[in-house]
Amino acid sequence: MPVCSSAISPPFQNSAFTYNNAMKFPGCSLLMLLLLFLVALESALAGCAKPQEMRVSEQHVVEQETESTDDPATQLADESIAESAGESIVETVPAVEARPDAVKPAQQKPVAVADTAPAVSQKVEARPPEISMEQLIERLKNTEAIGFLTKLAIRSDVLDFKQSVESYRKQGVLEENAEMLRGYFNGLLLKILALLERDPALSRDIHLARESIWKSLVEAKS
Amino acid sequence: MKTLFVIMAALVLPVQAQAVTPAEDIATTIMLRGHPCGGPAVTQIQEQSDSAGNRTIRATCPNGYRYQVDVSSDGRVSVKRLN
Repeated sequence: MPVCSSAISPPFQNSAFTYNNAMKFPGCSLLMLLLLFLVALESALAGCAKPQEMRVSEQHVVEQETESTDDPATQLADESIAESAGESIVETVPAVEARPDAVKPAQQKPVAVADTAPAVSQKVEARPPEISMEQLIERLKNTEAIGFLTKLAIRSDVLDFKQSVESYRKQGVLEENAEMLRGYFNGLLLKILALLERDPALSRDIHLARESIWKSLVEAKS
Repeated sequence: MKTLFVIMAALVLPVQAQAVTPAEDIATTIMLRGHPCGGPAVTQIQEQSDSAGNRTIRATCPNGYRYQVDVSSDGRVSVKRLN
């Protein structure tokens, strides 16, 4: 454990200094202690956890390579892995887990499976989530970042925008005025995002879904 | 260290959105309609409503301008300056 002890020791080298400061400012003492604890925890995790994970995963890879030559089912799985070698990890790992024979080494070493599974889930979560219009409207209605009168004013603006889109569509000049309507839409969206300063999650989701909002407002209804 | 900063930010910063006061709400509505107000909240709020469901709100902005906010029964909002 020399790695762990050397990793933990640096944050506590100035412990006398921090203790004196904590005595001068009693309100900050709890925060300082929490900060020191978190620094120690962070450095301990960084020093100890990662090398073990790397060792286990290397062993898992070596064992898979040695056993895969004997079993025809795992040979097929290896071929499928080799075919999709240029693609992402998300597609290669289920190909191994789909065949029961290929899972045998993973069942014998459950620790190795636990190491590889978070990497796969992180790859899947990297995709942007789908945001439905109904959910956004409901969240906009329920947010406390905007007052009731302001919500009504925004609703009036959106209804005016929809009415102008409908009138342009009836006249058959929607395509010609699309750029002007897009400018008005961008201004309206900017107003809403500015008003949602106190609800940054909703503001971010509306910003991400702006293209789908535009399409839902402008596209012809059948 | 990145994880540490995230944890510290979560401890220090407020998570939930804070509710807006009626004075801030009226001031925001006035500014949203393009009128100058000169501050985030109004004062001297007077509210009336008729039998048809229409509401009339009168308030004074920090810059001294007094406005009337009309909310119709179908939810349409309009603002006009009184002085």
